[in-house]
Amino acid sequence: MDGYVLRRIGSLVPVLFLSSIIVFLLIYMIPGDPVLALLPPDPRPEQIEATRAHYGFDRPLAEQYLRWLSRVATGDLGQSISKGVAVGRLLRESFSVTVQLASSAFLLALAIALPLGIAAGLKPGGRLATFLNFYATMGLAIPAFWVGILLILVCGVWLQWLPTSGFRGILRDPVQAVRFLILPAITLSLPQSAVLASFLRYSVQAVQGADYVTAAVANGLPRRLIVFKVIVKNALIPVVTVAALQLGHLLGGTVVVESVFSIPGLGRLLVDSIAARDYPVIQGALLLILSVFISLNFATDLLYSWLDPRVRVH
Amino acid sequence: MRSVGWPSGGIGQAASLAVLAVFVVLAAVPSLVSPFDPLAQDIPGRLHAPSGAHLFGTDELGRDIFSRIVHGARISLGTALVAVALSLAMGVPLGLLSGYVGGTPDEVISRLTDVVLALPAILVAMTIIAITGRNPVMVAVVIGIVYTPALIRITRSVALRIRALPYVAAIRTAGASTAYIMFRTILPNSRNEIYVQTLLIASQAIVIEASLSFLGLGIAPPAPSWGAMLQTGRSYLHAMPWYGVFPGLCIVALVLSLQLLAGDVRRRL
Repeated sequence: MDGYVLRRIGSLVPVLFLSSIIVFLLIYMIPGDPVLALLPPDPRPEQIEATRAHYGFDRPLAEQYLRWLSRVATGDLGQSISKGVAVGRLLRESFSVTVQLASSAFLLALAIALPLGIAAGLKPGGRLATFLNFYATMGLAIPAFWVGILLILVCGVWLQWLPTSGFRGILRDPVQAVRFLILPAITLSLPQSAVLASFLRYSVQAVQGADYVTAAVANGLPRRLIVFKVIVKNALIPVVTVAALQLGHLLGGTVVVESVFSIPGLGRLLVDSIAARDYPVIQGALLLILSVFISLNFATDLLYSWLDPRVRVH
Repeated sequence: MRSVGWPSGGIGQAASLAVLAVFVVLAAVPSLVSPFDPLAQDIPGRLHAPSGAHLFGTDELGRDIFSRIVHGARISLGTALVAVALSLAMGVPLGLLSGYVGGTPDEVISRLTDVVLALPAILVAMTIIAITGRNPVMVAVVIGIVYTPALIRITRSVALRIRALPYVAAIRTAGASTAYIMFRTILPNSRNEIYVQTLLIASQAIVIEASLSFLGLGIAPPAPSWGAMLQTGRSYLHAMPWYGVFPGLCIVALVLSLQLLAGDVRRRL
């Protein structure tokens, strides 16, 4: 481990600290007594007192925060108000669903964006470049939930090819799992692939004008070698960052897409808990999402510094 | 925020402006074309197919879907207007301060901006709504807050560029105050970039409002929000596919025309 990695780990600490404080303060920011936010409606007085003592609401705020943090660190995120089970269990179950959905959508987005972006970048005036213009505009303008509804209408209701709601675990029944995942994954991958392909196209165009490409051409390297070993390899470096950040933004997309296709994932859990004012679950889900984000950003930085060692200098 | 250009030119721009104009008129005076009260229920006449009387049919409570879509323009554009006004009012001064004055304010503002921009807008909006609860004004305010960092960032970057130009140095030498330089020198010269970003934010605000309402966390029923209509329409896709199609078409038409206009302005910069 070298200095750069250590410095990056060091810079994680304040971000994690800040995120945990925001999530902790959530129940204090809502109007009314925070104890009531953690209890089912119309609690008995002794219930209120028990919860107040358990969470230490009569203690100073800093002490409450430390208590909360130590509970969270040991995996105790409290009980769900509306479902009556441990928040940790709800998060584990729904997160595995969201990971399966997001990763399949991400792979699909890459499968669309890589060939499309590279081909459009190599031939800026070509037919594929024109198609990419159209694809990118549409991919960003059409809201995901409406794409989902149209896919349900065409592939589910009219053609009856695919199931339109629900989810199957990939380990239990792989064939059914894929059938259930196809429509949500397409929906989710559309805006992602639009952004990735456009970015890759401009990256490929920029690299094509670089001196080392001219040098490779002047040295008489075969065209195929130049394209894949020189142009694409260098063009992909900045795209890695965008792709990794897109992976994080997929989590935002899953919130809507999971609701369209009735998938019991993390996004759906968060939406349901907000509607039900189930604050322990809201806190847990937000904490998990923020942690995933921070880890993804961290991993992206490390990957980028490995691909392009120049960034380590700063 | 990016807009990926579709080289549109004259026809695209004219079409975008026309679409926008139509929706603005609908939002301003929905009664002009809407034949029914968007909230009037008619339970015996529910779930009817499109007909002469009900252009887009009737919904699950017998309300006229066409009238509801027309009135939905006001919610969609109204939310976007409030959100954009709010993010302009907060984002432009903060961006100018950050870019022109620099130093500690810039450090603090930029750090916060980075954090919010790293998170998906819909998640930030949902978190704030979890705290504040939802009502139409709150939804617009939340969307305005969520997109303020995007305006801060663009204003800051333009201010940074203009700050280095000779005419800024000249007017500073002439004794102009910091506030004067920020608002009377740099701001007018950043107008176009801010305008592009404003159009993009308006288009995103429309999508986020529809998404929140679709999730049941935005504009509450019975108000005719396009997002909420799509949520109900989704359950009736077998019997009435048009219910899930028309509100979505309106969203796409509005969003697309705003984004194409933004692209046109950007190309002329």
